[in-house]
Amino acid sequence: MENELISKKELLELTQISYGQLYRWKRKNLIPEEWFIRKSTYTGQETFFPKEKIIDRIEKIKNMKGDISLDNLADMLSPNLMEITLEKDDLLEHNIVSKTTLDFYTDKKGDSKKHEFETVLFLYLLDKLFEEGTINYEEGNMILEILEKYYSKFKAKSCVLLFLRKLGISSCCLVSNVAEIYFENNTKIIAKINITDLIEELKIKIV
Amino acid sequence: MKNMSDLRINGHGSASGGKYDSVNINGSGRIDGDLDCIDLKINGQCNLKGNINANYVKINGNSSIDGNVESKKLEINGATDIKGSFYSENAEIYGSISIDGDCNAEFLKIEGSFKNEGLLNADELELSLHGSSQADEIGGSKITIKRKGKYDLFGLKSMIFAFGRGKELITQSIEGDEIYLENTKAQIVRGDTIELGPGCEIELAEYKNSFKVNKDSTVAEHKKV
Repeated sequence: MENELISKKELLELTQISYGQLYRWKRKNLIPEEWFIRKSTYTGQETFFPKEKIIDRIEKIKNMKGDISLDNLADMLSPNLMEITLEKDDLLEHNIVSKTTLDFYTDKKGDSKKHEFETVLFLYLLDKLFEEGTINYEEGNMILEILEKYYSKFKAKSCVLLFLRKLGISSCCLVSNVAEIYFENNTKIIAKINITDLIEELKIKIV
Repeated sequence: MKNMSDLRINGHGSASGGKYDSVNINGSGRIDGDLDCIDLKINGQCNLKGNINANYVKINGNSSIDGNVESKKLEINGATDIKGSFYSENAEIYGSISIDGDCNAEFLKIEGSFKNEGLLNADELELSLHGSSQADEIGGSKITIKRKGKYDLFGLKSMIFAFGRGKELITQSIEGDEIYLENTKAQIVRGDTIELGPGCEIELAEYKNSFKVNKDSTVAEHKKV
């Protein structure tokens, strides 16, 4: 289960960090508040974390903290969008978005030299799906539309894109991360993409 | 950011909040909205209904803040009541403070008493207890909690126990790297090095490197992890 928890004590032992570091990172919002889960145990209240997420996050912080300041790191790890625009050529050069995906976008929206971070994020997502071969262009168009229309409603909140197919007909939706969602048997979840993770990935690629 | 105006209340008055260069309140004031300013100085009494975001905050006297406080440097002399949460890089508090949300600071010095319903998270925490204090949890790297007054140095232990009773800190857990405690009641204390001065009542202490305890303190259980 991805919901496996780890206690604070075990975490510190496992990752070899000190209380001071953990609390410092918490203050700097490197570790999101909602990961601190309070539970009663026989020794009183204890704090637990979602195991996979927190270990992954701490490794990331440990690896990157030498290169950039904690504040910059916090920006990178936060689900907020970056306020930058990227050149079309840069996107191609750094292999962030492939030429086919860019052409696809140009086809729909017209040519532009610069792209907002948000647009780059959408393209990055589409690029992944195209590359995996999970969706075709028409479906790509559908995903792009839903993202452009509704993604801004999520703002800094976590957001997951679900792409579904039932008897050859495809559909997609955006849900916030906490929801549990079930479909009847004929509906297959073709792709499930956590956009918050994607933002993180993309920020690391850009910086 | 240029050409922002100042806000000044002398005597008795109220304002609606907003963006200012410096805000001075002498006497009694009320701010009804969020306040975003470089300097905030309050002498006297003030009731702030919104959030505060300032570079430097100095409060002399008595004030209550209904929202969150965020500042680089903060100095409080007197009593302050914060309903939201609190963040400051450097905070010095002389008097009493109560915070309903979380309290975050890089450096936090409190002389007096405090009450914190949430987590008290400070890289370096220096507490000198004048009255009874309370926090849900305390975490940081260097945590020093002392009972104010140096009578014990002159061998007047009886005085400590006569007067020291009310000067205590009650908390669920304290976690840090270097911890020194006096007059503290806690369920759990966890740290690399833990030193307990007089007057502590600890249920469980877990340490990594060293553990020292004064004979006037009680520790139900301690173990090296």
